[in-house]
Amino acid sequence: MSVSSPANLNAAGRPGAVPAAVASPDAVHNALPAEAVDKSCRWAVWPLAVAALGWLFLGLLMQGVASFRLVAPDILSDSAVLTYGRLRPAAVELLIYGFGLQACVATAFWILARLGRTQFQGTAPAIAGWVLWNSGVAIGLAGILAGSGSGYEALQFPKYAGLLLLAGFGFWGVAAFLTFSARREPALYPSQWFIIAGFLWFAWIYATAQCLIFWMPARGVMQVVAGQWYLHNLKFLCFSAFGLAAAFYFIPKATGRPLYSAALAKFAFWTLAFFGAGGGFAASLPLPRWMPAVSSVCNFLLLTAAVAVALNFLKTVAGVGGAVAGNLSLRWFRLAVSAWLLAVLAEFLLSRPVIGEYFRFTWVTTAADVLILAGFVILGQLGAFYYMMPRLAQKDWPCQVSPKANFWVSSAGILIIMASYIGAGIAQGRSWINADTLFLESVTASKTWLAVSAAGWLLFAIGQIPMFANLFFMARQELRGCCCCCADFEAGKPTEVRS
Amino acid sequence: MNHGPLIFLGALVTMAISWCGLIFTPQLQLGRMEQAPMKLLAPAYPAGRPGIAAQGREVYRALGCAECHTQQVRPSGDNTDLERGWGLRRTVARDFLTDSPVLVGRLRVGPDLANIAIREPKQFAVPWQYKTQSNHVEELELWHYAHLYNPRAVSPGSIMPAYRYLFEERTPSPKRPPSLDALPPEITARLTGVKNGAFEIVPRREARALVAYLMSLRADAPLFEAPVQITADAKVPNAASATNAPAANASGTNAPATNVPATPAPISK
Repeated sequence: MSVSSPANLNAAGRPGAVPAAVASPDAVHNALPAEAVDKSCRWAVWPLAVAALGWLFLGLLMQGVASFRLVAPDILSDSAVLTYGRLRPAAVELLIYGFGLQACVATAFWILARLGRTQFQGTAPAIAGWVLWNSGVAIGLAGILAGSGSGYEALQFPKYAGLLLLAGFGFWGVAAFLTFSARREPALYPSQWFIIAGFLWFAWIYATAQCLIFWMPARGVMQVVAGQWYLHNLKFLCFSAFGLAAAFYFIPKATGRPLYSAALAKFAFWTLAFFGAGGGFAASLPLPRWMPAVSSVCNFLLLTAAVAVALNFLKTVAGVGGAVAGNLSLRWFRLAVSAWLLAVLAEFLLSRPVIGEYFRFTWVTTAADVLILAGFVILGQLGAFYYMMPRLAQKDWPCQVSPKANFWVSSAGILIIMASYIGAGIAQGRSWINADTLFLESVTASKTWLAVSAAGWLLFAIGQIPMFANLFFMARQELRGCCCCCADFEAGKPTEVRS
Repeated sequence: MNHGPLIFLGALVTMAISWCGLIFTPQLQLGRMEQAPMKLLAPAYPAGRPGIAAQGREVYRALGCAECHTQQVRPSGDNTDLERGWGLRRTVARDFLTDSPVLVGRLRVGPDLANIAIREPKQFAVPWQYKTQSNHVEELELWHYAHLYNPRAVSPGSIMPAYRYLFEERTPSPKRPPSLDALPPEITARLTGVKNGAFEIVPRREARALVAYLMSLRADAPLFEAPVQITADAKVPNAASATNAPAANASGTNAPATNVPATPAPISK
């Protein structure tokens, strides 16, 4: 059954259902009904969500093509634009900035308005941010394909695109802050903690990385320090904050019961804030030895946050059965949160001396990145979209089968990608550990796995088509339905106004 | 309770701690790093790369070579980087002092390139052999050109993309005399199957710059933080000393190697 059926919407979408654990009773009389909140969000959130989905599809497609370039290097090799070294970074940037952050901000806007029980306050800055951000992504994409990529993972967009992104994010931050300040429910729900911190953190780390790599390039390996610090904080601080905020909001919604413990969620917040920001420096990097040591310790301590999150979710969903267990939003988030927990564990294991050194520079490290950037961010935000978008549009998904298809094909795609990268990485590690084997043997051994991973990426991309079909049908209903709905609208609306 | 200010403050303070610890402190430590003085009349290490090699670094960046190639030799431990002859010592921060951007890479789809300028042919991913006794720099450069043009012609099984667009392919005619910069006919024949000089492969400026950059990649100067141990049986891989160019690094001494090839050898005719 679908989460977005009207019955479910009324049962779980009612304001007050979630923050009951921490809500103060005196505030409720101020609260805006959920439908009014949704209506006020529509023009700010809908464009972000649609643009994010567009970039997601393009990014996955480009990542698939890039992966095939490794398997069949002589096809498409006559153009520098389509070389692996440009396609792959461009695809990753699209998935991080085009989809990831934009989707996180869209969801965050909606959650802030819903939990504040207030109208969304910053539609104009949100739209301004949308224009700046998406033009930044488009220009940056063109820049990378034309050869202006910076060479730093996740910071490949050239300087001019980075400026647009930073400006766009600033506008979004203003919109978020205005909505947060205008909340009618003063008691804060854990999701709001994560979201507010996420906005602050991203602005800070992105500005720092831009400054040390582009505006005033630091000397020598300081650029690597800034790049690694940014990449780690992007994954384990910003994406984790936005993604966990969504999970803390939607999982109680989907199960229809309050979060097991708000205190545990706050504990997760503080441990994430302290230790999530401390990792990212692999022992192999040409850096002072204390930096990987600090990283390793912080990665270990971050496990406490993972334990708190895992406990909270297990307790919240424990014993839900039947229709609720099959709830679509819950399915997406169950997978996304598991991916986040595994990613924290993988980050810790890969910073240990023996395992880390065995798998350093292998595809296993890429698998760990996929786990958080695709498994956690993409699956989690798609789950949020499936809940959020019908409410923003005030109409149900036209097709009830396609969300399931999207879910199953996407999760199959992720599993195939993960399995193939891990397989390729193990093949490489086994080959490298013996100094007498030629390097080429590690290439040969991982080739089949890479072919599988390319298929996985394309499957993941194809898996998004049902989502677009559904959106298309929804838009067509809206347009075509205008005339037929007019009668209902005319019939229904006046009575409300007159009464 | 309204915890709004607490969250703002908390998020700022935790981020400030991370920033101070992992950005500001390294900047104090690494930002002050200077070139290391070298004995025996050599320039301080690392000297900046010569102009064409610095341009080649831009080509390396623009083509995304760092997506698949690292420039990090790990210290000995649970890895075989040093045994594979990928370097005489681990790479350290000082090796990259004059580079911007610093393209250390993160994935080894292809072999490490930290010391590709001085790697022995038998230690390549697909081993090969010098044909001559003395023209090793020139042979190595030609190998790079051939490898960039068609990786699978010189390294069967490689999955590196071909970079044919870095070369001009031309057919000499009475109006267009053969280029002096074209690859030798035997290499052209090996890459394309066309013999008798009927077809020429001329490296463009980007290809020359890229190869000049690759030929400048050597992180082997003995440093205080990364000493080079030369044992009696260890052979020092040194392409430069095998040429008739003045050797920048005499084996067995503590003389420095610079990041610069001894002499930029001319493209072969």
